[in-house]
Amino acid sequence: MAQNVIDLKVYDSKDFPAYLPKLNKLYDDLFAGGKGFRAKLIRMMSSHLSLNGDSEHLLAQTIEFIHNASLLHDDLIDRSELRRGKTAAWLKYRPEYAVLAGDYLLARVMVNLSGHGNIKLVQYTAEVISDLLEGEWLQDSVVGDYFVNLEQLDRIHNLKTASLFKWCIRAPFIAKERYDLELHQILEEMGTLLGLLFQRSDDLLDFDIRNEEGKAILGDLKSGYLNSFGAFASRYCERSHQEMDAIVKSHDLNEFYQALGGKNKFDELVLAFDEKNKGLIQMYDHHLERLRKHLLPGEEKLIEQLRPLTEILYWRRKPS
Amino acid sequence: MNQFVTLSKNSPEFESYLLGTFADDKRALPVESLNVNSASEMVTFKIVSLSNLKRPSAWYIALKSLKVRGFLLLLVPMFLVLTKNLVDNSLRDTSTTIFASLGLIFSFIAMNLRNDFMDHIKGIDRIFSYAGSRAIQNGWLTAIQVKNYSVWFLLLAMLCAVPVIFSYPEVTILIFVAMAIGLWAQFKKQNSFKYRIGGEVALFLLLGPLLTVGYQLSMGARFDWESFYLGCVWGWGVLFVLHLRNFTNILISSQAGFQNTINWLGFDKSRRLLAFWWLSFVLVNLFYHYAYAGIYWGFYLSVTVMMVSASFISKLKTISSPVGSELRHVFRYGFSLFLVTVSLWVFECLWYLAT
Repeated sequence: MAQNVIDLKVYDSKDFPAYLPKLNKLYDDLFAGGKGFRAKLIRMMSSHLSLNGDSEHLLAQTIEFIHNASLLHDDLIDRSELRRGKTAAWLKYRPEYAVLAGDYLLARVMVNLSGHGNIKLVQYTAEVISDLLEGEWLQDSVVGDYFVNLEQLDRIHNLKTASLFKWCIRAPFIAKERYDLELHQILEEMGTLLGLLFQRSDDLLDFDIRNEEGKAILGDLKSGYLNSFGAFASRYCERSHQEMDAIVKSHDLNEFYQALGGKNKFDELVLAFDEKNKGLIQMYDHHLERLRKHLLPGEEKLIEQLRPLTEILYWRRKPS
Repeated sequence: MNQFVTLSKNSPEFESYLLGTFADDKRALPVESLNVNSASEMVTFKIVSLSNLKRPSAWYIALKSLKVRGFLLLLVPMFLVLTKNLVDNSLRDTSTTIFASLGLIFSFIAMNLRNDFMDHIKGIDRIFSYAGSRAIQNGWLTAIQVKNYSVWFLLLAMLCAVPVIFSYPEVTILIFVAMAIGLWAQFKKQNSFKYRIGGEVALFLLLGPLLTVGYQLSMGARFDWESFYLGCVWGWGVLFVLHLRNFTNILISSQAGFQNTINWLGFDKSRRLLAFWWLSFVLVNLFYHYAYAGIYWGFYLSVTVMMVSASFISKLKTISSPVGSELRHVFRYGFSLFLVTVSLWVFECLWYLAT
């Protein structure tokens, strides 16, 4: 998983018109730093389902285009100044260009997919894009709301984050014209669980938990957004308005620990949060076993490839 | 390590897991999913051994299962009608009044239990993680137990209705209308009737005019328009609470495909509907007092309620998210307003009885 997106060739500057000023430069910057996890997931799924090379490339490109379009819009909405360690597109190229570049990626997705000819794939992709946008809209509506609860955030993350994970594991089956309802219900549940686990782990980075990639500390809280761990911790402690005020005004982690009742209390909450998420991992493993009976002979190895995803996405460690 | 079982609705074991009859020493708790709607064909159960189940006291389970807090919706209109007839000296038959009171309480309990059972069967409890008494979902009772209790309470209600029907046959038609609504709700294939526009009308009738007029006739009093109007005012108030509840669930119920008034109108228009519904509740209450009770009480009650309503309207106006914590605040505030109004109304009745 060390290659970046360009190495995987899901992005090629020839895909975009050269006469549009700044567009290709903007995309070069945007795609260069990505880990391309979703594209790799597509590749892993596709190889086990014996999808042909063109379809595999199309799917990998599609998911990266949608994901990066959402990042362009997301950074502007959140006024995030950095993306993958570099100046965010809206700041470097003007907000108008960032919006148009995001829209253009989504339009390319529809052009490319409709050329493929599988109408169910086009429809499903359009649904995922609308889920993503609904999730963005809802997330923006809870900025500044420090009493939002974990269940409510899960609803938002199911739309905003999990929709792309669902697409990664469902789209290859759709591209193979395998539409079995039960199969897709299983994949839908698995995608939701992967999305929630990824989001919750990502939210823990904000509190410097398993933060190997050095993500900015308390970034969400400082942007006025109580993330999933923040919502869990505040509910677990049943904070009053004054106590919540101290939590959200924390300038650094030490102040945050103090507002929660000390570092030990914080560690206790992280353990409780991990314990809660182990329940989601168990549920994922349950659905993974259900998936087995829907696979054709020769595809069973997919199960063992999908099993360690929770290790990677939640625990942020390479599978043993 | 949790044990999970996922079953299709076509599976021969499905019913036994759903009803809780699959094992004597285990419970199958349905797992909430962010992707289901009530038509979903698959249900995942978490299997918990009875010895590992956290069970509160029997009293707590009974109070929660019977939804004692919801009794307010039944007891207040009964109290209002009773007071009216005591003050007017039109309560002619104490024994049928007692039978009718018990019958109404038993049928209310039966309705609540049946409602919990149907929500479980139709998958509503996998969509709303906090709806209903949660007795089945927490494993305190099995679905079949809830269903059986519901039948027993219904039988008790029917027994209580017999002397009333024999004494005052005109009550029969009201009981039949109520039963017809109940049967319609039971045999609706999709969703509970609470989550449909037609169901809102049914709830208005059941807890409104059908209740007040039926109770009035059971006391041996004649039909009068006051009890009918009283029922309409109360039913309007009950629907306010229902709309308020549906508003707090607007995102979840929209995603699940429910078609109630709130979902039909959408977030922005629903805020206006709630403000309109509440203010009109205060106005119809004022008109009721003008027409049938003390206008001075109506005036003071309405002025007091209007004053505390301003903050509620303001909260409705500023609420900006269909998922955030503001929804809970709006619900709590709106419901508190309803309770304040009801308390003032009950106090007024006590005043009439005392003077």
